[in-house]
Amino acid sequence: MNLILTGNPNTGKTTIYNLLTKSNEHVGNWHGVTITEKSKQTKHFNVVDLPGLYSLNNIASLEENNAVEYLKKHSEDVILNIVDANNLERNLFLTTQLIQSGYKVCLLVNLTTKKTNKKIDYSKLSQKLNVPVIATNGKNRNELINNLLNLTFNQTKLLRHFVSEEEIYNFVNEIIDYAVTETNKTLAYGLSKLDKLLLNKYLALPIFFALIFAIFYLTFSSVGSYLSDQIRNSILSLCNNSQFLNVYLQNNAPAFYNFVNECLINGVLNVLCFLPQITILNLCLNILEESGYISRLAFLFDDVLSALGLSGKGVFTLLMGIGCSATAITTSANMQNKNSKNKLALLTPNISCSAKLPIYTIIGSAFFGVNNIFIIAGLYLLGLVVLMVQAYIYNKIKPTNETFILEFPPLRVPSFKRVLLNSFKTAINFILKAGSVILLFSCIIWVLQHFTYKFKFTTNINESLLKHISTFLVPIFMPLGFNSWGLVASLISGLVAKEMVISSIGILNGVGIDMLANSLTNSSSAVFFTHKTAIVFLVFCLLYTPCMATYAMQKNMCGRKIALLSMAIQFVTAYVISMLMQTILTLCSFWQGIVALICIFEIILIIRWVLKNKKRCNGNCENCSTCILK
Amino acid sequence: MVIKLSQAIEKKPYIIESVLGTDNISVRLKELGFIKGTIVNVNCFSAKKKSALVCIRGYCLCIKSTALSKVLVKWI
Repeated sequence: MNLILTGNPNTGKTTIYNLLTKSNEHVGNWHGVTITEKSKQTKHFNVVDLPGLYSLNNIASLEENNAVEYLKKHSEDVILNIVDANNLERNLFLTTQLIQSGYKVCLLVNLTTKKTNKKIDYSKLSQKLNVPVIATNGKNRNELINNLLNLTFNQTKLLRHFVSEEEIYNFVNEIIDYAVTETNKTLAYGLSKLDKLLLNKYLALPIFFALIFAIFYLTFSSVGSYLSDQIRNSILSLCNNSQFLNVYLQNNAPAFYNFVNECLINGVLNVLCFLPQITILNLCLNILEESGYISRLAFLFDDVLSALGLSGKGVFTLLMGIGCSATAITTSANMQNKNSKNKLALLTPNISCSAKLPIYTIIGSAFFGVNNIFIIAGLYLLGLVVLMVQAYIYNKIKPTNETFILEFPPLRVPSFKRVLLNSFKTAINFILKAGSVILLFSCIIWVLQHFTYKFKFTTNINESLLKHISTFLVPIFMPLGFNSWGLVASLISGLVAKEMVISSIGILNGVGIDMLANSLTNSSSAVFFTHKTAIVFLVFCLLYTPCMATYAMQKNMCGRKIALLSMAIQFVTAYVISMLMQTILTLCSFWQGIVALICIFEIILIIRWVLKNKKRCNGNCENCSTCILK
Repeated sequence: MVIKLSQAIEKKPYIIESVLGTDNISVRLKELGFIKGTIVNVNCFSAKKKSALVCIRGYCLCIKSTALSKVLVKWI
């Protein structure tokens, strides 16, 4: 039996799906977590989870379209319509439409454990709707399965036929009056006292920036940094004390020792040291997501994003981009039109993802010491500024008018179990990535570094294939100040995954994580920097062509053309900005350069303000906010 | 009085008598219960009042006001 889970957004469909199928699909306290259908066969049913939708007729986003199209193709299957016990009045609108359309509907009243001032008589509800009704707390699997197995569908057609929305709501009101008691209609479910603070005109933005600072501090400066150091020390002591590695292998198989030391220890383990920082960053993002705060951010930033041709919904994608660009791009499906979706997919790579953390941390700490946190914050800010400029240009080329209705889920204390589970999944994915893609490409880098073009083993790096290939590409990067072939080689490896940049630097310099930062200031290393090239390199890494996973996701969501366009745009953007940065830093000192950049930014803002205020209207703009005549 | 909702939210409170638009967003609002007799409590935090929080049927929605069609309103 096919069991299709459907209902309004954020009613707990994926939670029920996970419960029925014993899966671990991503669950979040915001609208649009599920973007396409997913299914799993269990002992009793084939369970299908659909994206949330409000209505069968008026489709407002691509994810809703996916859900409605699926329902149309599977009209014979059983629909498990999940409704929120606290918001029956609105949820029953879709239920009425489903029953009226002739689907075999079973109503599942979810979230019954939450505090509510409503008491629902399920038998009366079933009697009025003429469909089976099941109540669940989303925890008792066996009870839910037994209830579903005992379902009988006698008559699911409604006796009345509704033409308008008003008629449906009158019918729903009748049901509520009959089946629900102790209803406090003035209760604004979804807004709490804390919301008044989080959405306060003056406090909202400072609270947001304080939260972001706290996340940065936890990740880069305190707990994250401490745990990374502990892992690094443990790995080093393990390697240094290994008799097998340092005595047996070194003496009996020097080539293999070289491979293990450079490829595995310097390449893969250098990256693995950043596991705590990446996990903490994702843990913080999961807490924000679970609490419902991201929906508040969508409201707060709607003004800014609508000026760029997006809507507040774009905040979900951009914030997820801090974790992983590839995952974030999947959430762009909740935009209303294809143009907005494509625009968001093109913009997301500008947000610095967690894979770039090792690059910032290692290079930043080598040159800026404890002030590194400000450099990292500056890079995130630069990514945001570039994103805004790109969005502004895209909007000028192809303007979009994204309408925006977003449900506010209630603020809640994040589920400890779910937050930990999601963070654990991120950590496992990172370890798997280090053990697969990064290991594979570390091996390729090592082979290219130790073999000549005649495929003979060599320890002389000047004869290596890698040097020949990279030297050929050096002229392209010379205007950026990247004169060393090692720098170019590490950038090329970053096209596969951004973690590879640090992994390949470790292999090329032939040092472990303890000496990596020091080797970067040594001019005899294959990869070395000056203060100036370090800044330009960090900026280039922030903005250049996204990794293969992001490309694949862009291709999947928006097509090959958009994905290739994104690669080209990101490379050109990174190249131009890095060259600008290199020129400014060559002409003046570091701090003079920073002041010059701020001045350029200020001048752009002033020019924009002057141009905006010069606008004159044609006399028909009754709501115009910038009109001088008015 | 027939005005745009973007104007209505600037001078709260109003009772929304009916949504008159037939475009997508108006239909969506009607489906969300934004119909005659619904008291709408508006909190607007945005400086340019481009989006607003509107409480409908005991649930809060964030709506971009500039996108909204004409509504029939009664000022209270």
